[in-house]
Amino acid sequence: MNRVVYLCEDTPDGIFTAIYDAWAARIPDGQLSIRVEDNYMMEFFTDYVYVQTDLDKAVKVARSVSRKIGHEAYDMMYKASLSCEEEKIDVSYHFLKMGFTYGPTVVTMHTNDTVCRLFELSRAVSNEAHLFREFVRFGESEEGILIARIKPKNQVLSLMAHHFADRFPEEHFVILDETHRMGLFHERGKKWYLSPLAVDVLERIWMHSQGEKYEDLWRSFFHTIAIQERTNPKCQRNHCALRYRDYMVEFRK
Amino acid sequence: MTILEDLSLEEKLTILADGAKYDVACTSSGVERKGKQGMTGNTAACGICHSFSADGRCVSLLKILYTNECIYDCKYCVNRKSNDTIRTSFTPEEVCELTMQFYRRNYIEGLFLSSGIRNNPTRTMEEIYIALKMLREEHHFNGYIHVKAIPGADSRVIEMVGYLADRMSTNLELPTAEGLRELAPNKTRQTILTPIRQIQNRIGEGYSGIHRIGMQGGQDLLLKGEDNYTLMERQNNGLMIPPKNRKNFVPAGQSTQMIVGATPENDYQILSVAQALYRQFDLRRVFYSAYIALNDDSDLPAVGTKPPLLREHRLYQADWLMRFYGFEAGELLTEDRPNFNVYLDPKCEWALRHLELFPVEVNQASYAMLLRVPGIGVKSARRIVMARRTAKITFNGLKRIGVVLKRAHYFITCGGKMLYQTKIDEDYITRRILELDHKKNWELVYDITFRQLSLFQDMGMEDVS
Repeated sequence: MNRVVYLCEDTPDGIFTAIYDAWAARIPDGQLSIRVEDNYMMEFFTDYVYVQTDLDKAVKVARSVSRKIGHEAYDMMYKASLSCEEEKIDVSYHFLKMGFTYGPTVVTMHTNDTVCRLFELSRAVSNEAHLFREFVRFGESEEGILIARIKPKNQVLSLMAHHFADRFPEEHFVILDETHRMGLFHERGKKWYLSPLAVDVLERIWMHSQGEKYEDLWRSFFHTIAIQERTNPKCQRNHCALRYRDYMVEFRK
Repeated sequence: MTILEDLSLEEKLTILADGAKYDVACTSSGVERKGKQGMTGNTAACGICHSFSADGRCVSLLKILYTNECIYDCKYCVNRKSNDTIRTSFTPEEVCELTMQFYRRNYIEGLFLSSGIRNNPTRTMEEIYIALKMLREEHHFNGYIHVKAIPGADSRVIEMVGYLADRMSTNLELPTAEGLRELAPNKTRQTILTPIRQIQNRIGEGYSGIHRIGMQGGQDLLLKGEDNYTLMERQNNGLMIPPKNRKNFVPAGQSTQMIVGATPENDYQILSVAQALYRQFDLRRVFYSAYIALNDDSDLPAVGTKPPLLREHRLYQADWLMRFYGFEAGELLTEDRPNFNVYLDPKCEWALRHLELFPVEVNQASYAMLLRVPGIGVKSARRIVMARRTAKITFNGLKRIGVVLKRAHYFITCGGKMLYQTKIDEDYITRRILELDHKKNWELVYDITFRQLSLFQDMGMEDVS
């Protein structure tokens, strides 16, 4: 029998729908693979199934994971689904199968390859989200809207949203994800939302964020606060890798 | 002393950040507070760093002095009275503007406000109070504030500041009273410990619900400044009444800092002092600051002496062992061996001196014992304990869990077997581990990048003649 590959949209909803469909089709383990449809390289001797994202199915999967395997397991699967790694859905799917066998204890099986891999994926996503919570820098538009731009590997916006909405309830702010062409929007006193953006729209929003006096003040503070006698660029890079610095005010000349 | 008042905000910021940068505590941790409608900010218990300066230290808070004018003449301090530098001060409005605007742009997690002593300690503390009150009440700032309690300031002003701050710290400066007497003639151990004790007691009361505060006869408590101006007069009475909800007193606790390498104290003394501070004063953190020789003084190391960075690193490692790994100062060092080994980290050193306890079986050892194995940290120890409930742990599994096997394998067995054939012999294991660490330690001591080899220094030729 040919290998079967399910191709789905690269969003948590799309991925959970694909898991639902693949589960329902009862395809033997060795023959099934679930991938995201962007950039997928077609192969011979393979049947392709295109998954139509269906919110109801996705919610069903999410709900049964939370109920039967526990909230921690759901959290890991959700975060892993935001990862940039190709194997993420296969790992989640295997984890799910194990979860239905072992129940909530599955998350403590740190020495199992599948559990460990899923843990690593979700940890990589949370870590990146945490780093962008630290390193994202807002500029201000003339109207007082805060605008920031990031270039993450994983889809971290949804994990950053709560933090900033809680922190700045009185601000209008936007965070642009240029890798995945998404925007996080927050209007004063309202709930935040994510929206996909065309490249030119993203650039146009970004144009409104202007250089200003507080950026200069921050740069001079940043350069003053370093102790010359302890200069250690390697340590600095360990904590704040070069790839995060693209839009950080203090590293711009 | 030149006092300049009409400097631009940028010039002031540069001068007053420069004066504050030798204070090491820049953490924003210890309190979880949600955001509120109408306010700006929240705090995270884990703390959030926002940048890393060229020395690799985290920048979490806007770390500034309120003023760098100072009536004291502590020998180790860049802001001492006898140094001829430009002196200036912020206004409360400027502190608020910088904090709010930096915070909105996500540059910082909050404010770290320290100060030189202008006029007298109480007066200085009052000025800090006014700035913080403005920040909290007029600008509705709900983020993190770390503030210095100034030794010698009136206890009631310190108390009022405590309701506005998240963390307070009083620097111990030097580990022993003798060192302090020698280098900081205007400070005594007693004046430093008084506010630490006061804040500790107050935090304790907040939890037990007992409120004791002497506000009667409040007039005399506020010393008048040189300009005959008191907080009372400035704020029209009544503002010194503590808030109703007294639980929010310094919710993130206290910290302190000791300078390492300015005076001849050994590591054992420093570590014992730190342990006493954790136990008797409930401090959240003790920071160690390698002394950077900037002042020319016959009582201090010569200007340009390299800061003892590796020693500072070892002290932090030991500090972690005391706070998270269940070690006692007396286990790590003794009076006969009062200093840390330059080549080995404290945990490894301890394990090598206690080889009679090793190897331990990973599948059976207690959590406390696992924590004492070099190469196993708090997270991996926890994961081991969890994972072994469902399956037997193998070396492969340990690697998956995140144990540093190249270090740990000398001290553990999995299912009764060690990973390699290893002699349980102190010299043998020491030599093998030294090979692992050699490069790292060397880099810490020597600045290896861009340095020309020198025949005399690098080849040990100095002693020849």
